[in-house]
Amino acid sequence: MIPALLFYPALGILLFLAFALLALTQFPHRRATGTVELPPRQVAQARLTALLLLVLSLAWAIRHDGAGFGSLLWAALISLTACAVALILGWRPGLLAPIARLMPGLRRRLPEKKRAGE
Amino acid sequence: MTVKPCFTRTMEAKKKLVSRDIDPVTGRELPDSGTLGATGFIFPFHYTLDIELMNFGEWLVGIASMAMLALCVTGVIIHRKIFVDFFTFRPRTNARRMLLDLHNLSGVLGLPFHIVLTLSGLVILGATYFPAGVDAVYPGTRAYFYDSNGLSFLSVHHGKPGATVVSLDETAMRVRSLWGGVGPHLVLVANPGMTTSRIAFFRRSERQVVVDRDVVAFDGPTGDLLSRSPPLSPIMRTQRFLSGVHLVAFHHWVLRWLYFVLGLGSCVLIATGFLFWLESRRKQQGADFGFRLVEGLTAGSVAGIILATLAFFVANRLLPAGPRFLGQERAALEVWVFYLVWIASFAHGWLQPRRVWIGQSAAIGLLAALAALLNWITTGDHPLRTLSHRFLWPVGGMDALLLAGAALALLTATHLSRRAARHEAVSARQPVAETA
Repeated sequence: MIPALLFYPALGILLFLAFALLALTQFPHRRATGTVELPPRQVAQARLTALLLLVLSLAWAIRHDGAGFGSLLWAALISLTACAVALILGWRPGLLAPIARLMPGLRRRLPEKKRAGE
Repeated sequence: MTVKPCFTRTMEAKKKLVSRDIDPVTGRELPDSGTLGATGFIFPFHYTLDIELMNFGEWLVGIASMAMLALCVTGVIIHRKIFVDFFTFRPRTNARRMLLDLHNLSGVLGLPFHIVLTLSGLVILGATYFPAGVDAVYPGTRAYFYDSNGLSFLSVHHGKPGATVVSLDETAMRVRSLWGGVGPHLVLVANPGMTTSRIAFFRRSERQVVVDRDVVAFDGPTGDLLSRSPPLSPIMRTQRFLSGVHLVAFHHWVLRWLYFVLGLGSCVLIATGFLFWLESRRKQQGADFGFRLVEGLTAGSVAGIILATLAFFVANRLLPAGPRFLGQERAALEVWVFYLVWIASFAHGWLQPRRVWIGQSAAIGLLAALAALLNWITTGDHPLRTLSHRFLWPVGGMDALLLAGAALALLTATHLSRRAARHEAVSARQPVAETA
């Protein structure tokens, strides 16, 4: 069992990542982070990953804190982490740029496609 | 057996309930604290509004809660681009746009919290709003209350004095074995010393969300097991889960802090809703009666309730100790201070709408700092002491929050004041420029 001091921040980070992935599939937020738009397939992949992270974090919370506390904790944290993502995108979008750049295959594929189009 | 500080309640006259604090070590009666505090005033105020006549306060809160639920659902439906705008917050656009973004953000992202807290509040007071079910099964609300809370053992006559009392330790041991080693969090002795005395143990349930009020009652003179709460049915378990979600009586410090932050989010939702409504209509309807009415209501509902609560804290520290002051009950005077300050904040909003936010933000800053300072002076629980003693951390935390709130409110007042001065300077220059 992970100590409480590590578990709660880790759960928060997991949920934050899930919402960051969801937000960074949207064009206005990609533009704000200085990255190019994702092709539809990449968008679907990122959203599926985010969904998996959300489900996994719920399972982890329930396993660690029990069904009652775990589900409440998860529900409360999704609100706060989603809010944190929105506030960061509003004030300091550059902080999420590394995640935006790391989104799978983005930098390699897009230029290739562009080149093919040219 | 270890006994925690507790209070006894005795019936004086026919209906008046009187509480007395007892020192658990010496058994002596402690002097009246002269305050209702949060448990006696702020907590019941949040669902009764201090109006007991025909449960009118509970009905008002119920209607407001239903309106809130309807708003939560309709707010989502009316938001046409909910997924597109899910993470949208534009702090650098105009003030009205930012207010709307903040309102949408706190409303949509905090939706689970708003809905669950509102719904669970309605469920807790369900017997008030839908009494037909209770009326069909029970002869009265008292019988329902006793039965649903496992307190049926209390329905006994007063009895005769001079009866023997069974050992408290022995009965506590029996209860522990019934609960598989879990101890009680409350011991209730009814009709002490009488032939009809009862000893009841309430199970600890702070390690779970469900409010499991398992009560085991013994006959005082003989120690015979009288009653035990039946296992919860699925419907009652759901009701108790929702009650637990709402009452937050459990020990889970992370969740309690998350509740606090999400509660602040709800305040943001309400405040930004009010302010956006006003800003959208200020140009066209600024002089209308309805607009002015809402302007004052906004001040009283957003800043005024904070001011009134802070005034309650300050009065608690300033009024001399003792049950009465100037011929009035001290506890009642604190409540009067709360209401007077609250009413004044509404009046301030109506009389000085242009300066109300500056004035009330500054007042919040000063009162919050004063409340913390007065607590240090009158109790001796200054930060050095509260931080060095674990049992005083809640006091230290409250003081820290008061000071942080004071700083934030004073910064807001300064910012608003500078902005108002800039606007005044610009509008003073405009006629000159027009004339030139």
